[in-house]
Amino acid sequence: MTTAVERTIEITAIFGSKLTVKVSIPESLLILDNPTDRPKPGHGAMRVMTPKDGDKRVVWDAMSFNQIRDAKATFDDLVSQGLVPHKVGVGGKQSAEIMTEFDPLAEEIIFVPVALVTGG
Amino acid sequence: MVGSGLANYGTQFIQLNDHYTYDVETTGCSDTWKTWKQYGTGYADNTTALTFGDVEGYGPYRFYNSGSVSTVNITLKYKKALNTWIDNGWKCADTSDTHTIWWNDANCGEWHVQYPKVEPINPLDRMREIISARQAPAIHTTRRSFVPMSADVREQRARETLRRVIGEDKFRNFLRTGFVSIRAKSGLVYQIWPGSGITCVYDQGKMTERLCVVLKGDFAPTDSLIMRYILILNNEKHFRSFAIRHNVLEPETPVEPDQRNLVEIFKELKVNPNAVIPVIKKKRQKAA
Repeated sequence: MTTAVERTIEITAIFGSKLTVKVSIPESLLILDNPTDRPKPGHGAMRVMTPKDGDKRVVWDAMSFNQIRDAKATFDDLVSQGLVPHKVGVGGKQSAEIMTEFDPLAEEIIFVPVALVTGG
Repeated sequence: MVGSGLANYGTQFIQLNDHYTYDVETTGCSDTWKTWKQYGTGYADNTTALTFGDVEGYGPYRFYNSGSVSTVNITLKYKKALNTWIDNGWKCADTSDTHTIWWNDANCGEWHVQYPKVEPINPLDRMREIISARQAPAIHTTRRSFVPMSADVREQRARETLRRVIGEDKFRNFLRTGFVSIRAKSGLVYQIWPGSGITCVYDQGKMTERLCVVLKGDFAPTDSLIMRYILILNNEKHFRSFAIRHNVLEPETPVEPDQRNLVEIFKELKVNPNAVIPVIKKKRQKAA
């Protein structure tokens, strides 16, 4: 179960700063809180890497226009905040490509905070 | 005389019908069948028979221990005259549970039953045999997982994401070995460790580079691994553009230790203070 408080994704806007931006998740989309929860067949999942939640997993039903619309809106919000969406293959399919637009039929979209990637 | 023919396997005595108990270790026996056991003496009546439980045929006869699956082959022969043994002449009547064996000569003297000598079994050894027979085959597996369970829910979610992305087999491998390996489009193999671990690059099985790429911030260690996995898959050059290269650790070259004692080494140093004494130390070479 998710609460209204958790229906936001905190993103570090600028590398090295504590400034965070919150992206709200529409009510129609599901959030998988439990680590062992998996998206149902026919559902796509967006996973956003955040320091606070680890992976914030937002799920939409590919057969529901409302959810697709809301998922697209969330997708665009996240991209606008600097996260790079990668469409990855599941089940061991070694593929990862950067998405330029939202694909409602994508099984897994992982948002990588590329702005926070650096050498060490 | 009819005996019930119950033999105790592994013991020294064979008891017949509670009437006769004989010592197995009878001397003066043929060494083909180890020892003879004397069952009786002075039987002159051809109706007198020795009955064994479940004895087969004419010989070598076998009898079964009551309640045991062990069988002992025995050979029967009877003695007609002193020191004269006759192998044939034995007959056997098959009854339901017992067999009656008798000799066909009214003038027989002693008769013996020979069977292989049974070595008494040490109960401790027997117990060991029983236990080892009941044990499963010794299959040694490395059960220890390299990646311990994490109580951090963020790490659990990240691992779940990793499992979904790389598949069940590779995920199990990751749990066992602690890293994920991926072959990039260039043919290089990247060995990715979670957390702030180094990413080792292998070219045809040989480590050529060690790259460090991290995710700044308090991210779960497996998130860092996923990030590197995705970046390498998507664009290897982009990944390398972030990376800081570290030296490749060469394996230690063996150095011959100085076998001299300290007194001799000190004497040499006194004469020549600049003498080089072989010292074993690690050698690091820069990557090409």
